[in-house]
Amino acid sequence: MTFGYHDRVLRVDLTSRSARSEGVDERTWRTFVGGAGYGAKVLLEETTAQTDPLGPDNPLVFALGPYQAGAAPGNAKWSVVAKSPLTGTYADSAAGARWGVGLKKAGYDALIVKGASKTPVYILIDDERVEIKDAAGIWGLDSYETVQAVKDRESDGSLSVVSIGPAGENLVRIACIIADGHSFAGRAGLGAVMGSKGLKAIAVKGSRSVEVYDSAALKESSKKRFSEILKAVRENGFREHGTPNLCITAEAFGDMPIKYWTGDVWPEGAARIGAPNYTKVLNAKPLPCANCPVGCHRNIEVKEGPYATSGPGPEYETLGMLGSNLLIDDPEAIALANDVCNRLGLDTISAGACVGLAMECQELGYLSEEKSGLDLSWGNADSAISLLKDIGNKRGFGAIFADGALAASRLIHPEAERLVAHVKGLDLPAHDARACWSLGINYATCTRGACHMRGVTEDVEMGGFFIPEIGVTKDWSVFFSPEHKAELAVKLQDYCAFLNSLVICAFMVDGGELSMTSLLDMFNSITGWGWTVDDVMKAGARITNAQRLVNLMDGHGRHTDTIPYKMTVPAKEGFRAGQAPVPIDMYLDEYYGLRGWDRSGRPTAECLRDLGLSEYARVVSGAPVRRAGACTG
Amino acid sequence: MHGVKAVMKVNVRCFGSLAEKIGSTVTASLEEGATLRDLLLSLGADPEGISVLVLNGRQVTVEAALQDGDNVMLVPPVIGGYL
Repeated sequence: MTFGYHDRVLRVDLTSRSARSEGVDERTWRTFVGGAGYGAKVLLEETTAQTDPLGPDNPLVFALGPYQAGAAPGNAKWSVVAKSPLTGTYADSAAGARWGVGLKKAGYDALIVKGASKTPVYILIDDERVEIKDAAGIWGLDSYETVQAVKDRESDGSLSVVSIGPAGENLVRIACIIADGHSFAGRAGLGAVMGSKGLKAIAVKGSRSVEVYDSAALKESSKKRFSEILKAVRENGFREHGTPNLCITAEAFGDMPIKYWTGDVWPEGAARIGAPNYTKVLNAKPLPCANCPVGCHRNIEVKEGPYATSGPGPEYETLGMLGSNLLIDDPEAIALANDVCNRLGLDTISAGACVGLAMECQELGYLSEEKSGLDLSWGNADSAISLLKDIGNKRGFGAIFADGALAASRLIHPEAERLVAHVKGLDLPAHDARACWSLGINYATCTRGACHMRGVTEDVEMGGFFIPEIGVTKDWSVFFSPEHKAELAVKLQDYCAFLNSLVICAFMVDGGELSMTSLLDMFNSITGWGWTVDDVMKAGARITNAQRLVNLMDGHGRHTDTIPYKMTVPAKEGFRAGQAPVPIDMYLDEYYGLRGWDRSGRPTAECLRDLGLSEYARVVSGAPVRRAGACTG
Repeated sequence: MHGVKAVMKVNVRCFGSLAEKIGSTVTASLEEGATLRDLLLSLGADPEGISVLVLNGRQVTVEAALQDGDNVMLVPPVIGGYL
């Protein structure tokens, strides 16, 4: 028995409609921790370069970690891992609400779904009871309605439910997975993977506790850390305003996406869509996940008018990609666009990229109003909302975006592909790599494509997040300099890989100011492993390398470790005016060297041996490698 | 300001929680030779609590000297985005 774990995962095969529990040993947890790390192990062992992301053999892994064993702050998180239909390789995404805690209570450290049902189903997990149930009458509902429909059908309001909306059903490759109509595993199209299996929802509840090494110490430190985090987020405005608190600052630094990455400044717009105006206009209140002192999600309400809506409100990323990115400065309109995406089950980041691409194409004459059927002028909120509905429902002109912005660009105009801001097929989130140069190397090398949260290097650069235990201090908060950037990306990617395997919400440490030392104390109280900072960083490096091996197996490598062309164009005005980022190739050799990879970006045999991953060396040395899709920039 | 004759004016833009405490935009009057540390103290802000100091578009330290007409950006700790 491993403290903090049930030592078992649940496997469900939807083709044969069967379920079985499978034991997992402590060595596996000590190697991969859980969450994103465990998911990488499954992909390494159970997929090949030929595995179709939307085929029955792609394992959809919902994975937890030891952190779900106790009521520690930020433990509501869960990871979902699969081959992404957008990037064709490893991807993980995470969300909160109550679902992860519910699956852990049901007695499992992970759920692995394979196969595909010919008719729509949902899975019910209630301790030992695992049932695959007919979803007729639920299929077709939006993601919020689905939660209630499953609860009604089971006559059990205590269930926690993850669902997909029509976008996932329609195999739209930017579809997300939604927990309890509250929190979103948004990125990389994993909702389409769920849809490809005919799986509409997974409902969980349970009554099983997990034994931890020192429950008294965990309880005491959790209580103390909860109070400390709450104090920090009250002082820095995170609790009151959530991530919308970032907008004005991000715009001032040139970090916010403006006009699909072609604009430089937009201060009046940022002031309108960001806090404090956001909080006032949308009547926004914190909407915390279970055991969360931060409460970053917002519950909003627009009582009347053309954009009347209520429920989970737009986050910073959504305000960026559906707001400043499209020059839409009405927070009520963005709130409705967000609600449309949430209900359809669309990743608001990639959805914003699709609409931004369409608007830019119209401006450049690559796309006519006649073809789109819409006036896609910048700032036209009604057209944006209409297009989002058509993307999610895969109908009309919107169907052209069913495979994402990159694929759509090739159908719109021969010159449009260069406009797409992506890495490995994943659209850039709402942070500009020209503002924070560390983002460039982080985006280029992140194992799921362009992602800021699998490294959060920009928060070090902008002076809000330091980890003195690993030497990341305020001295590293320097703009427009290549110094420390590759090393910063390596260290933070590895720390985040550990966090996403633990599984803890990143906002406890970044924003909530939970130190690595305090986190390590709680981790050791749970597991009893007595890990040190070095152990944590080595585990993080091992997990990052495992994910990288999947990337390499799937044909990614140095040729896709790039940043989009738009991220190399200096601004004409604003904070980053005239600043040209150092070409990414100049960082890559340093980054690869720090990781122990060769110049093609492959881990050396020595690197894999040091990390205890030698058994996976065959993945890159012997497997046939197909080349991944072309990448701009 | 603190009984000292003001001889220059500095335009200050504050962000995040600092904007709520000090105001989004402020014009401060300081005596010649003042540094950013002096400016922060005059505004009632903790010089060690500012994450990023920007003077005329360039990142600087609290010891940077100010001149009449300078534009200053004061940024408290900033956190990132959303998964």
